Amino acid sequence: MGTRRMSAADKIYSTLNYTVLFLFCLTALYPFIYFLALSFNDGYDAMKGGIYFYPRVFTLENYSKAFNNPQVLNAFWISVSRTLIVTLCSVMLTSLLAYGLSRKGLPGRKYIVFFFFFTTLFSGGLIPTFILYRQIHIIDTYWVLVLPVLYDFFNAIVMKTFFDGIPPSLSESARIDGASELSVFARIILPLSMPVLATIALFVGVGVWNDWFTGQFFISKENLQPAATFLNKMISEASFQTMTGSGGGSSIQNMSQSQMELRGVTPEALRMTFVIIITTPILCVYPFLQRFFVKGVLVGSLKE
Amino acid sequence: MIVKEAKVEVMPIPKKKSETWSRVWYFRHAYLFMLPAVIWYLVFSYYPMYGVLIAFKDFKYNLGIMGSPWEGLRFFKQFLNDSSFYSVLKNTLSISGLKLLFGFPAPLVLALMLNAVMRSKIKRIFQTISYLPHFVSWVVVVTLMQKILSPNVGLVNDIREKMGLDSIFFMGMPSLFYPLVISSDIWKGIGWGSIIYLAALTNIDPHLYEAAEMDGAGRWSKLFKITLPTLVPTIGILLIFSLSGILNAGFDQIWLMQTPATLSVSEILDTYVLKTGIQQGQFAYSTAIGLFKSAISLVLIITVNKVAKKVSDVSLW
Amino acid sequence: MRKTRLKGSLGLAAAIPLLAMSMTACSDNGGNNEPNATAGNATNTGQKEADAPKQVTLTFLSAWNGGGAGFPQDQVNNPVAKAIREKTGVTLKMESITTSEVEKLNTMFASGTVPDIVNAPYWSTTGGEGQVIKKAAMEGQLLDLTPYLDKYPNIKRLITTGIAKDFAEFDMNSPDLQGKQYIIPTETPDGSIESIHNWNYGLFARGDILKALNVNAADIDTQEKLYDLLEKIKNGNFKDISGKPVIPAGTLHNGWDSSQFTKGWTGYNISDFREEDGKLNFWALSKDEEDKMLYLRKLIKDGLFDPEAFSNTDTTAMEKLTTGKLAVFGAQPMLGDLSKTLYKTNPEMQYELLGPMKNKNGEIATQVEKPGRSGFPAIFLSAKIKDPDAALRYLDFVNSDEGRLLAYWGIEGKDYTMVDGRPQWIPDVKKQFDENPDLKRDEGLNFLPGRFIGAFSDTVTWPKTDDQKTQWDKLEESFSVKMPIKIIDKVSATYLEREWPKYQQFRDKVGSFDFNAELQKAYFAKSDEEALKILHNAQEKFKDAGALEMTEFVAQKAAERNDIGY
Repeated sequence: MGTRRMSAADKIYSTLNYTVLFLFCLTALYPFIYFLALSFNDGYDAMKGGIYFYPRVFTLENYSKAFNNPQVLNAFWISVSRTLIVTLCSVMLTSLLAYGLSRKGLPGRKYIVFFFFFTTLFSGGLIPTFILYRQIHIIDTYWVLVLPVLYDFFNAIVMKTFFDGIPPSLSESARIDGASELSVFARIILPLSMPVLATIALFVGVGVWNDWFTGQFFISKENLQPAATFLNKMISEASFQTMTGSGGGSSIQNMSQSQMELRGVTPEALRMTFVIIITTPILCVYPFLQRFFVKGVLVGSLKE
Repeated sequence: MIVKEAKVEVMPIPKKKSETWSRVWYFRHAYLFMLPAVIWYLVFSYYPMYGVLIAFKDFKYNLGIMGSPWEGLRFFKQFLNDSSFYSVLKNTLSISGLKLLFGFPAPLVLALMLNAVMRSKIKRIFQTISYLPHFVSWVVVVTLMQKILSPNVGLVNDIREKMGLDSIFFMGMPSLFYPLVISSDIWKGIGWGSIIYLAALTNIDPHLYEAAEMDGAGRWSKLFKITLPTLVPTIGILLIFSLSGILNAGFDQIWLMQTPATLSVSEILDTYVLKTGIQQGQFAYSTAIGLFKSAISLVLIITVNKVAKKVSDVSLW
Repeated sequence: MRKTRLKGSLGLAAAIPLLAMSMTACSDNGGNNEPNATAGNATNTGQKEADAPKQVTLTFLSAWNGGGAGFPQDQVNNPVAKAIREKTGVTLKMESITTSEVEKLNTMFASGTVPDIVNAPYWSTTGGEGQVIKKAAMEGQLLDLTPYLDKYPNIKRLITTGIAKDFAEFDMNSPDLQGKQYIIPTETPDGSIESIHNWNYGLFARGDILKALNVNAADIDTQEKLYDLLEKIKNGNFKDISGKPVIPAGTLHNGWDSSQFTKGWTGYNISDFREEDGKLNFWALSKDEEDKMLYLRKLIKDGLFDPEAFSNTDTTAMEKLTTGKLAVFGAQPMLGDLSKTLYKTNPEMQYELLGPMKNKNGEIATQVEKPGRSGFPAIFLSAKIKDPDAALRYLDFVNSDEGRLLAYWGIEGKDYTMVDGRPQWIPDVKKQFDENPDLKRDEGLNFLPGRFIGAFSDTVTWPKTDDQKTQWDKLEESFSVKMPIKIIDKVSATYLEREWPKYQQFRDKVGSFDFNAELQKAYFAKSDEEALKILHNAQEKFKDAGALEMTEFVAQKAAERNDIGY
């Protein structure tokens, strides 16, 4: 970018831009400050309300309860490995699909697109899915965390749209030079598509990281459950305890007694802690991905 | 324009129908690339689709879905004859419509604003913060909203009282329900939604902007002649996907935000189905409604796609 | 160069899944908790080989959202599980869910993946989980327990004790089930009146406010007096602990339990029907509904009732409760939460029971119960279970005297001692448990009570002596004394509805109709006329569906029996 003089109008727009963005970011950021404060606050004290920016009764109990379980380390390992594997595989597979779809003049493209798109509208539901997973023996295995999430047609379309914007002359000249299709894909298309690949990687990664349902519904083995499932379980169980303790179901006195002493860790406090725990890793990953959000090496590769 | 394709193809692609198979052979690698996806979708999406038959059957566990006796359209009839059907449908469409009108452009606007930030470090910080709300579940967001808007100890009413005004039960006012739903939805999704646009924006060659300036183009000119046209394909695709979800007005959010006072406008298809499907055949009933929604979406998408093809060169197929 | 780079990244991509696979293989072996090792231990405790019961592992599902809360960390070798294994040879592999119970049950039955033993909610067989379970029973998914009952007397007792007569007649032994037994009730009372739990629902008012107004809590026993009190509170400028004004009346989450404020228009009912003016009337069509609605409406309109009450989340409700923001609330005494918060910081604000309110017959409005439970957590076994005797052996043992001591108190000598024939915690142990409830859970003392044990009441069998009771126990008891449960030992007329030929159509039309939601709309309507219109429209819905004819039918049928109650 060359140097430009900023006109008065430019300055005003710029300031306005910054201001609005800044205000918006305040509103986006504040809830996290709030959650952070609550996660470090004693749950019972927090019930009284009035906590806005910092904890009133500081405690590490909530985090301690979350991390106390020896399983939690394993759960995080499962989540991390799952996220890495699925992201890598899904981005690769989806980009192949998107590239195939983006080839100009492909016979039957209309029908192929419709074939995939149809699945975004219609689904068989939980029961046939469960039966399918059983039939292919992926229930209660690591595979059920990976296989069913490899494709999302929305991602494919986003990538295809991006690929459509790459001039075909680039790939054509490579083909003339005798490059194989795979080569064209890997050496021309992919390097130019870093932003969209990074974007889809982010979408897939975050989606898989936050998914607690798969681990809950299709896996019973405790050592295969990802972090999101694990933390979600903890919150449900804490809620269950307080419910049955104060009269929701069991009338057994002994049980109510121990419920009464949950030691400052209320389900509400756990929920806050959960948000912090599950979000922090993503926030750390994103700056790493931001590197890729630069324009592809388009300029200069062709003499226009 | 960079977007339109160059018309020159060096290798001749067979054009005549009789040469279709030659074309197929020419593109064989493309098909190969798509093959894993086809297999995956056949297994994981198409095979389980027989489950929609639950909507038509008197499902018995021991007979399975295929073996259970046929019930026909009973659940559909039950749903359509329900006196609340029309008002529920109206609410659903109203909310979706408003979300499209206001919520759809919002991430685009944010992306443009972020793009105008010169200092890349600040841009990154703003961007990261802007999508934090995406990670907060609706349970937490609505709880937060209720606290702020509470007639008892809410922030807003606190300020009102200090100003001498009465406190209002905001979340109980039907007239405010839609604005609250739309704005909280925008707040939550705008940052995350802008990521796609930001990625697409990186595709624009900065030299174009410089060249345009030298031709005397102002800020708005640049926006409308360079920036937006580049984004048209992305916008188009996202719009089509949004339309396909028009009967899903946002179950989690609405379910939590409903109050008895606002039910006349806040009852949508999904919340209604959940409440009424509790009785017998809950599964069959909600499957039927899901099928109904999908069918409507399909018709909608086909129509929109046809229109899009005529009006622009952006379309799904 | 580039080609190798590509190969390199492809190679990496291939390596990771392989790594993952090998990892799962490892964790499979590592996580193997089969008690093959402990089988040896069981026989080493001195029993002869021939006496050692067969070692079996069964799968157990607690189909409650969050129900895994009581599971010990070591399911196999915690002291209680070990002891049970010694006696029965059975080890349980337990799991639970964090999603909707109905969803899990449906999927389980539809895919034929029912665990060996399941505990699930069983409230009524006309909807929800109960219906799903009944359907599963009729369609061959559950094991018929009838042939086993004589062999396992404790289980037989569970099936016949503590269950309301009518529930047993119509739901558990409904004609559809053809006389077969599939369900084992748990968490049921032991057949004595004392064992029926008094939930102590009522209206509770802040003690310091009552004192300031010079009002005796017990005097507030009519709707008018309640209204007056609330008005006085509104004008009395009272504050919560943060100095903000109180709300005169409110409820907890989602409007629970607003019905406490309109008890003056109730009677003692166990069915959908009311006896009014010598005739039988359907509950929703009773004139009382109008009066109730208008009263609550007035409370809201006059600023005496929290407008947010019906949309309170748990969090906001707790906040209001623990800051003393509600001058009067209608629910249970909530001592669990209050004792840890408000009562600690502001003991003068301790809530007192108002009234109790008199109902329309001049009697105290109180909890009405049949001498048994109508709906409970229930255990059933999978029809495909390989070793039903093992499962029943387990359940039978746990419900024996010895088993129950184990379930509630643990190991004699280690956790408790017997004093005068009653178990008492060893003081050090109790202290540890109080300080760290997870210890108690991991000892194995949380997962059996309530979910595996039925026809039993620990408060009746092991009553606390006075000095063992905490001040909160005594407070709860004082409430119960003021509101003794009214026992009606009759068959609810509601069950007769099912015999009406047009019952199915009735259900189709109104089974899912949310009358409560309509009521709430009426509370917030712009005018009384509009509110009444909403109410009448709702009532019309019932009439259209045939409520009046159904009521007549039920009245006739009821006359044919002498044990029907309304």
